[in-house]
Amino acid sequence: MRLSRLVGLARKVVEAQKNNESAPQGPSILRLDDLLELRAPAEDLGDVESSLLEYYPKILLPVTSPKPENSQSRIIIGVDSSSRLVELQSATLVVSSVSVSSNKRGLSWDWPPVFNGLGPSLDEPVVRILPNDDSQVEVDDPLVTLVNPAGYQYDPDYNQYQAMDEARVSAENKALEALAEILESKPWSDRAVILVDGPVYLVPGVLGSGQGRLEYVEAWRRLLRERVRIIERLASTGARIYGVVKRVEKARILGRAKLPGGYQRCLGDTRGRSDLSLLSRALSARCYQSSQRGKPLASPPALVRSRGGPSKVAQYVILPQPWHLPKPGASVYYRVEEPYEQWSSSNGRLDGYRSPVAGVLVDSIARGSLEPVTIRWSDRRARETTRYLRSLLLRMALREGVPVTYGELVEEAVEAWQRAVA
Amino acid sequence: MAEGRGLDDYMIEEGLSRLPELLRRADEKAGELGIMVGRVSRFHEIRVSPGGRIAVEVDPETYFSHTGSPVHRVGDYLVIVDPKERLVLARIAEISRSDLLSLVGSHAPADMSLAYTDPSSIATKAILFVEPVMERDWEGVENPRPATTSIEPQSPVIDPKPEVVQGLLGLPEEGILLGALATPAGLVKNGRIRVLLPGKALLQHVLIIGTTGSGKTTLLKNMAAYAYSAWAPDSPHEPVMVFIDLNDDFIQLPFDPEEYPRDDPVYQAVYQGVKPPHGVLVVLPVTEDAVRSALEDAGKVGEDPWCSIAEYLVAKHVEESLAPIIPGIEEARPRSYRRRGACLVEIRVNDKIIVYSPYTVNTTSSPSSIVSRLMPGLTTLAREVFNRTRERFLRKYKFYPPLSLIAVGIAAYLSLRGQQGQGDYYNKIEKIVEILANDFLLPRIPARIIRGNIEGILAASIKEFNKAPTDIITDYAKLLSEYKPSYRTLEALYRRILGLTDTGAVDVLYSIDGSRLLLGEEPGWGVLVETASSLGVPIVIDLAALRVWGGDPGDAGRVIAYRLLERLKAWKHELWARRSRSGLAGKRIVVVIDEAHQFFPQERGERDEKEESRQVAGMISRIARLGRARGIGLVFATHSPKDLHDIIVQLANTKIVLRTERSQLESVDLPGDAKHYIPRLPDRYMVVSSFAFRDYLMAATAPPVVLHYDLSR
Repeated sequence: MRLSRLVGLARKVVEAQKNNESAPQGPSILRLDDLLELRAPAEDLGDVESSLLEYYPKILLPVTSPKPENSQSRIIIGVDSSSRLVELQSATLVVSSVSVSSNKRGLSWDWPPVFNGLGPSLDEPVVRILPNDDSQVEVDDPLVTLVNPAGYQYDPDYNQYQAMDEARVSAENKALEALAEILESKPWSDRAVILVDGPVYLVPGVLGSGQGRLEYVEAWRRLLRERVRIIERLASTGARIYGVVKRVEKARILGRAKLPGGYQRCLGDTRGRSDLSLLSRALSARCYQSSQRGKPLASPPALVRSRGGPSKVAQYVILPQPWHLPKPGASVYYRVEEPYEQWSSSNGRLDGYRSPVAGVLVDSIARGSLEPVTIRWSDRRARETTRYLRSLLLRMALREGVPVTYGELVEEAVEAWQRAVA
Repeated sequence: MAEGRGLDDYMIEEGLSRLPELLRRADEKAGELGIMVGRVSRFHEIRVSPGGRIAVEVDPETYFSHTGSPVHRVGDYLVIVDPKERLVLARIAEISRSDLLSLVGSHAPADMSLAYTDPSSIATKAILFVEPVMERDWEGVENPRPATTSIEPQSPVIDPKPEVVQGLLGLPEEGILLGALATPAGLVKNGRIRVLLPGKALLQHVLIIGTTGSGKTTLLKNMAAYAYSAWAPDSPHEPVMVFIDLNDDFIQLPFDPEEYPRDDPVYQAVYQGVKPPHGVLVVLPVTEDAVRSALEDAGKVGEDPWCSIAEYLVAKHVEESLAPIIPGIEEARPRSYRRRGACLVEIRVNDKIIVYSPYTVNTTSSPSSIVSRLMPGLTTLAREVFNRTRERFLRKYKFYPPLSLIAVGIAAYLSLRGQQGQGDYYNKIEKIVEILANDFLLPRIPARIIRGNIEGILAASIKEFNKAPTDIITDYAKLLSEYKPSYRTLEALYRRILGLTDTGAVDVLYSIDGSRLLLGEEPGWGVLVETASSLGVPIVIDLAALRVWGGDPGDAGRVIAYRLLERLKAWKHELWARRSRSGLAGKRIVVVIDEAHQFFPQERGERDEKEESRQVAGMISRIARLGRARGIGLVFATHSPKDLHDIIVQLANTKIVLRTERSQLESVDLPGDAKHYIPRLPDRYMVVSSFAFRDYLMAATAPPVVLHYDLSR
């Protein structure tokens, strides 16, 4: 796809807004849902049960990282997505992208392909238009959509952050599906390890509780069904898939599980505490067997069942920062997830190492990094892609005289200044 | 998903429909001219400005698949094929590599127990920052010019074919071979691009700088070999190369090296077929001591005394200087003959010919203004006295007196200073002259010739003038008494003249039978150049021979060198003035002055020393300036440019710098990045800065292709 295609797309979107005579003129529109519904984190809330699948002597166990040879013998594929907003006065645009990167076999592509023309073409829009009023805007381009994944039209009250989450998950699904198609024809598919940034299955609160706008519930339901189907397809190729969650602040998986008394003696009262709080306490109170300095620490794997969603196994891993740094920072926390079927069929092992935590270690520690390299790589590209799309749309809007919000102007000015001084 | 019909609508609308075709043609042209290695970056601003750099991206497969590719080496050359039909030669200034961990901004973990080698992590792009140097059109119709045209992102970048580099650098196709084009990282195109220094650059003078062992002498020898390799019999050779040699380096020129450097890549690439010259013409300085030794040892002298002496001296020189390094040469018998009045002695060994021209400085054939230049540092008053008295002597007696006799005349005059006007003044002068002449002459005559016949010897005439030395001295002293110069002026003049005569190489007087005195001969440049050119051999002024006669080549060597340079200039000027139609008039002569700082030192020390240096510099400056118009090129070589007079650095329009300490380069105008590499250059690598090349470049010469013994040690 040439960049000119994207330029043409931006022009169409902007012209549609320009021709929208009924578009509101004035300062930023505040969406009702943004006020009424606090943005639900992409986490498991609501009806979720968790139970430990294994018990360690203490809540944290020093684990051996896979060796570099393990990472080199595997084809590690990182998938990450990005979404951004472009706030025009007449509409809010959500731009999204997804990137796939691998440590070998040359898998490196993006959707939309801004940097290179490699990779499959996905049947996935890159611009979602959330109108700021009830007027209907038509844009005849397969890269643009005015409906959510369940087919409901976006309206002025649609939560923009919900739309951003949907866009990312939808793009990831399409990328995973494309990967499944590729792997089905590859003899090395059983050596592939796919890492997705975020939960392996996303079961937001509205889906678990069933409460919330129908449009949101249906959208998540559809996206989840897609994900389940795709993961089954991937499993048939022999590939392993893991989700790597970095935002663990509000999770309560360990907090919901029944912890043995021995853990509680070290941790103290665990009732109502978040996972992060428990882990921080465990680290500071040394609730683990003494080990070599700097070794990763893992929590016991927990089976997570959510109503309305498939089961998965989740495990926390803590990677300590280099002790030689002048200002020793906080340790890095990840939650690694894998489908329960995958965990049980492999006896909780990846190449002999404890799974699911080995899934993230094989792409981080084993490659000399604190974070999964392929995910980080995809993350960089995905963000650059959406930054490019956002910038393209904004400049096109400014050029065509389509009003943008004040906040958008300020943000653009700041970015321009940062580029200039870089 | 459909992308659109045919060309994108956007591009048609904007009138840019030619862009895809332009890029396609650029790719096609790139394939014709070299191997594509990358493209001008899309992710950096591409700014063309003086000293600016352009980012080029090289994909990892290309980067790792081409071993020895220029993309691995700073200083090497690439060519950007710009779609606007421009070729831009660019020098790699910087190479940036990043592991994937660095690119994505990963942090290092604390666990150091694992060996973190991950080959896949280095499969990242290389970013090269290149400096545009020269450009021209695609088809090579234009001459290359400095790179000033804008450069488009995505332009293909190639590892160019050798002829493309050669064309863009505008390298001359004729001249003397310096070596193969190189960079700090090694040879360009495996040494297949020749770097030739054109003749016009030689005539605008060259300065070669290099520390001991850097390859300076090797370079000069290889240049000579290349210059003479193309000679064919019966074809007068040009330019004639003249080497002023303090260390017996260049008399080795005709001989094969101990082993040809067949494995050396530079030799293989550009020196195949280059052989040593098939001979050499040696200008052999002769001193009074040498002549006396010859007469004492030789016994009978032939009908041509000077040639007989010359044959003896040549045999001695061969024995002392050449026999240790040239097997069998001692068997060669010297054969003397005369050519246009000059005595030449020839020896042949194997297929090589060595012609010797015995040389003394004979001031009796030169005007006073020329002779006084042999005494740099002479005060103005002293010079005036010298010039006037000498010219007066000429007018009166029809010849110039030898310097040694002038010195005795001055001494005689000084000893009787204040006694002029007294009746027996002239008698006293004659008496003193007789005493001085005794002291002066007798040491010059071999004992077996004197054999008690002192009076006869003192009365002997100098053959050329038919007058006895005592008479000449007395006549000169009387002239001085007429001028009455001051004591200090005469003392200064006396000191300077002694400085010349003490070298033993100036106005050499000798006698073979005590009945008459003879003057040593000074061959002219005409016979030297004609002989060397017809034989197709270089000329070597072998100042190191002064050591063979027991002397120090320092002072004597300088005098001989200055004399030869002055006479060369005068000879060429005379040919020009006479509109001579002889083939010699247009013949270019390149004089190589090795250890140039010994001849043209920096102005330092006391006032007299500074004045001396200044006058020497003035002399070489005159020669250099006239030389350009008269076909004389000067090549100065030194390991100590700080000790070399500044005028030389200014005069030389071409600088060739081999490995040298940075502190030695302060006064030499070179680009900053070149100065950065010079202290660490391998042997025989050089930086060349010349008006003959459009940009400075680097070259490497081969190991010596002629015999190369360091006889100075």
